[in-house]
Amino acid sequence: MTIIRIEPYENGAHANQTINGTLSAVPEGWAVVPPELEAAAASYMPWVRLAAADGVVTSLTLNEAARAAFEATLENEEEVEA
Amino acid sequence: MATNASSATPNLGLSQWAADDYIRREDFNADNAAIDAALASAAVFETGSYVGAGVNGSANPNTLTFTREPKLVFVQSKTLGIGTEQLFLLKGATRVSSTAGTGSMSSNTVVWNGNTLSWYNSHGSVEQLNDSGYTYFYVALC
Repeated sequence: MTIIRIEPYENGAHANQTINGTLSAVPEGWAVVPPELEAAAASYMPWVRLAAADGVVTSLTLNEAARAAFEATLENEEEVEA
Repeated sequence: MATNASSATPNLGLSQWAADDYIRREDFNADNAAIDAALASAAVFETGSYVGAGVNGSANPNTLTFTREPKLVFVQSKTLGIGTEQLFLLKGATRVSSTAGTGSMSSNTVVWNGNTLSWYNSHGSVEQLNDSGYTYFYVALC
């Protein structure tokens, strides 16, 4: 199962954890990613936009702006190194 | 409660009946309870992963949650540009160095709270094993 911290960090990323097993209780402030959204979570993590209700993620999409901002930092690092 | 079985297994003391032993329901219940208790107290390995969020410091600790109280946790990154990052945590330790493939070390502050483990590093997200977009694997003895 995959759990994700509902509140994003300032950079738009979300803390997350994929567990080879099942937690009996989800930590406060976190939500479970349901099976139908696990593939999307695996592709987009940690830059996602999500909605959650009752400890379960109800929608999850890519946070393009956050990922683009991260990728821009990589490009800047490459330019500095060059 | 004394069992009617004439012998018992060496470890859990489970009933071992001979052909002429009297069999009672209570013996089965006691044996099942002993097995259940032994399984509940046995250490188990838990594994999993997370994708780094690119943040660090006391306001942004890494957190892992387990089904039981962790006693020992090992975290390792996939290969990074500077080498593999590792963190080896033993229950009770509150300051632990993460180790890079380059041999450099950096101190992490660790908090053990029941089934949850968290840690942070003031130097950077790489040292905290939380580099953006990188996958980290863990194994824990709980």
